[in-house]
Amino acid sequence: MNDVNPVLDALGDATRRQVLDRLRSGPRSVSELAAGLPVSRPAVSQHLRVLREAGLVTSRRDGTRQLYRLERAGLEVLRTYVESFWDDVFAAFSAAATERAAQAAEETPR
Amino acid sequence: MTTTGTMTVEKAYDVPLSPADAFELFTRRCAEWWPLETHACHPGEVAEVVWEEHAGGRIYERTADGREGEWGIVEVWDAPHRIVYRWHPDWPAGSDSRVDLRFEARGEGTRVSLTHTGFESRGDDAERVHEGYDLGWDLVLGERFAAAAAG
Repeated sequence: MNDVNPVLDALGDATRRQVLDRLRSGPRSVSELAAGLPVSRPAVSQHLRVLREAGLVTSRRDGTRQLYRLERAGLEVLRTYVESFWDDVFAAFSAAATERAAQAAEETPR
Repeated sequence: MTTTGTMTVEKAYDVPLSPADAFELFTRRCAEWWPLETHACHPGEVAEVVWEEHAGGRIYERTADGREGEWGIVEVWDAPHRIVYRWHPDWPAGSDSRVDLRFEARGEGTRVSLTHTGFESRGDDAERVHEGYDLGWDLVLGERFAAAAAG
């Protein structure tokens, strides 16, 4: 599981997913993100911190404002994890299926 | 604003068994081959994997001393053709996803096709997801988010 867990954890919260969704159209400040969300600005800041620690957003200073943007590499971590998970599972499944087919062939006189 | 294309991870594997045998191997005989040393809630300790064979049934592992770890919940059980299940093995609370697994005869064997779709959230969030209010998971495994790329 290693470093995918912070990403899953960060994405397990509906508000944080909404924050991410809002960043899809481009960088935003905390105030812009908080507008229209049913949570306080400090709460949004807290969510952004979790997202940043998970590698899902980055921030930079733009004059007096802090701007947040989506970090696609963070999402790739999860995608790669899911891909490799099923590759591992199906490698084992295919091996077991092949073995089982070979056993069945032995048991069936030709 | 957001796309509805949630699917991203798709896999297909051919195995030399009939659909019925492949289906049984994947479910009832799961513990015989699943990489439980690594891909489990209790790695290396799992004694049994249970697929409750009906919609709403649980998919879970059990250790020799009785500890359980839930992998997911069955949504569709259509042996030996298809299983759809929610999938959240040992994931943090709130994280969830859906797997659609199909077993189709292909020559003398079976093609097993897996579609792992967009991570939705559990419980109370579900309705909001359907209303399109909470689409954040779409981008996780979703199609490219063109707008963000310009950011």
